[in-house]
Amino acid sequence: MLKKCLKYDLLSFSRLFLLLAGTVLGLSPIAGLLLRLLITRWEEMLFPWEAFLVIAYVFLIGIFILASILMVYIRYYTHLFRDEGYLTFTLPVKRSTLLFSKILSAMIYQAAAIAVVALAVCIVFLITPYNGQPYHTLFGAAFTPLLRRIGAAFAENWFVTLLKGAVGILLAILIMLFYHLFYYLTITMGSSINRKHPLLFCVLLIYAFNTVLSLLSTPALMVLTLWFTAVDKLYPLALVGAQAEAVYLTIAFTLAAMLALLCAAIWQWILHLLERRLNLA
Amino acid sequence: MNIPVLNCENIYKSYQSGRPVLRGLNLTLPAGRIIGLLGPNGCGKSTLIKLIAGLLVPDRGNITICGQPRSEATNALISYLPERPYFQSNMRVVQLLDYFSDFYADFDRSRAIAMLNDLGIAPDARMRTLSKGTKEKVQLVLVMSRRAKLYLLDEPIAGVDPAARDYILRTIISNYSPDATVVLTTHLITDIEPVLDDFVFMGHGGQILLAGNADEVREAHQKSLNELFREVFRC
Repeated sequence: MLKKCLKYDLLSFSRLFLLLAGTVLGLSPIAGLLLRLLITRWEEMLFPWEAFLVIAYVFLIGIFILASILMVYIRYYTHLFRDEGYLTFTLPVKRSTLLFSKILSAMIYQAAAIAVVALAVCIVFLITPYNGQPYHTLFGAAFTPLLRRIGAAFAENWFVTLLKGAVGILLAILIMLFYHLFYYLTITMGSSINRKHPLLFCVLLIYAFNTVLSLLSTPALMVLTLWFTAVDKLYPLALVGAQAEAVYLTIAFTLAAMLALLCAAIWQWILHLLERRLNLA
Repeated sequence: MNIPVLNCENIYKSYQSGRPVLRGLNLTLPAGRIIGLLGPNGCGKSTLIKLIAGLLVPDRGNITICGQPRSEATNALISYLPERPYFQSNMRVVQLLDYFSDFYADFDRSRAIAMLNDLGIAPDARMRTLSKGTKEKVQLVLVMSRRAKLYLLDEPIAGVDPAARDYILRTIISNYSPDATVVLTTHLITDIEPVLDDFVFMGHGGQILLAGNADEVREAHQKSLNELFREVFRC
């Protein structure tokens, strides 16, 4: 049933997503050419209309990213808590499967949006010149040193480099998962608590959460900074090489484990609301 | 042993306002009957239907479908028609056929296509281009094309013209499985009375005021169900 749910969740706004993605990618060579014109003919220009068009393209990318995130949340709300919910919750599908399908489709769309934006930026950079030389592009200037550093790190210790890459990807996925689950939780809570104004409740919950997070994070960061400073004064650490790598990896894996536990707790909370507090009256 | 298709035991349900809608409702329905669930506005008919369909959770009590506790698995035994359209408006009729075929193993696609042809509804039409009555017909066709054990039809003939009502009632009689049970809620008692085998008069709080075989009660009281309804629920 998961495959079937995922199929319909992905299809639900695939046309809009492909249209926006096609527009962003289709306009990227034009944006690159405009940037090239801007850089090579800057001194001759009376009115840099190319600059405005390039800025408009940057805004288009922003709209595309925002739309791909909003589409997912709108779909979650309409599919579960509006009239479509009468069909969704009467399907012979477990609530956990429905929720998992929503999360998976959200992550797939977000990954696809990131890939589209990365590809569009690469196309723009491939056309844009660097340092006034027509055949030395921004792509080469930006990515060649990065690729050299990665190559050097692999040559020095491929296992640790691979581990750092893996934990970085794991943290990125967990952060994405956390934010999707959090917004799904606020939508679910808003719809369960107040049928008349669920989205207003959802916005209030997001605001409340962000306020609490800000209030807690400032003293937490202060305490952590004081602790590290005190520890460093008492036991001066000169972490180099393998010791430094081990500490960084331990901190990264600990953060990943904490995020995973938080995601699991939010998942259970949403499931509890869908199973025991559903109110499609 | 005949297992009842539906058994509701001691069902309590209140909404967030605190107003109790169902207070200790007990109801058992046998298989193979067309049953009218009749009552005044606000007595809890739709609430009961939604509890059985799984759209609401009872505060207290148990619901069993064909002897199994109500769960997502029993959704496969229930075919539910709500009082409002519940499809994505940009979906085409043929996509809805695919949707039902994917999720319901008992969905009879050829029967659904035949009924849609009878109604002159094009398979590539988008739901948002159809009139309210046509959307309701599409929903009814999809619901009645399943070979479910329990059909829950919430106000299936409200808001449609008399000719469409006749078609809907003929579709209900001719397309449900003989060993299945159909539960209909409506205020248009005169229209559905001819198709009912049994009826339940439900009062406020989910009280069962009168229930039984429609023919027997008509004979005993020498009145139609419509007249009996007006008498029982006189304001």
